[in-house]
Amino acid sequence: MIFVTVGTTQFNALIQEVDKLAERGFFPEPVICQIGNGSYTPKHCEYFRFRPSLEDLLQEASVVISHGGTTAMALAAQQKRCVIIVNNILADNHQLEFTRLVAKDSGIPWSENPADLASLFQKALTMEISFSKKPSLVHDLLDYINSL
Amino acid sequence: MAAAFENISGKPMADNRKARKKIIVTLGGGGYMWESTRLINSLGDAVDFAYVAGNDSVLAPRFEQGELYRVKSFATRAAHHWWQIVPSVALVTLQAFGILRKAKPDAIIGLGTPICVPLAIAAKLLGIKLVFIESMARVYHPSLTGRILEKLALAERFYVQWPEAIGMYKNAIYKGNVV
Repeated sequence: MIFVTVGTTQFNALIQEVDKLAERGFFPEPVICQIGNGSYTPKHCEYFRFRPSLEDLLQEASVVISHGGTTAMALAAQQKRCVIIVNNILADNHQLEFTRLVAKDSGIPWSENPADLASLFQKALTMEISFSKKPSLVHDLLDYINSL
Repeated sequence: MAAAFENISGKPMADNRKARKKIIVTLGGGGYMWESTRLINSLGDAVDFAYVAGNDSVLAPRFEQGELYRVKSFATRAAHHWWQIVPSVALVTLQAFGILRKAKPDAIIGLGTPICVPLAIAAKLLGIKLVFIESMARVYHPSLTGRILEKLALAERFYVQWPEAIGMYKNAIYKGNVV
């Protein structure tokens, strides 16, 4: 199963591109889309707007196509095959910088342009995601809390 | 003399330093939930937890079964106009007062979500310390939540989760992330 997620807002351009590719039979497996508040509803994939948790679907999917939110880090941490398409109409496009850093460390294929999805997807099928754990702020945080 | 040093928990300060701490952690929606969950997992057994979440968040059973407080949701999928948000923030600040007086935490950890602002206002007025952890999704552009907390000096400690992000705030510290 291929799982597509746009996060808590919407991303019509990505869902449209996914639908277009699904119509052509591009994807090797059935596609499920989480479309948020998006006005475009796909005709060639199963879809839903929001669910309490996407954990199961993210786990089950053989490839995840995600917008550029914090989920990108969750995917890198699980070394999940995935593609990130950054939604650059969101607030000050901050997710672009975050995605760039996560992708640099992990090798996750990404773009700001939904039209790149097909080639990035092919890439995702063949590459390995790496993940190096960074230091945790928890030790410092606990020292501070216990000093109160 | 001991009475002068009691905090909101009603325990004398010296005892607090030995006792187990009770922490409120914010549970924002979307990616914030993932970050909060990772943080809580990492803190493990070291502290006791209570949680604050917006009323339109559906939460994992572990949170529903814990000490959970709800506030009116006022950002992201909820209200979008400033004339809706400002009265909502005022209401949530009042709700936060009630929550903090009931929960009596030793500290609050606010992770990214706008809920941090009314919570921090109530905390400041009640003398409870709030630690703000900026979302991992923020590298060079600070969040509005973070900017407000900085401007109003509402956070005792300010963490960012990337070394590159230190420049976003005057007094931010980088010690790692929550993953």
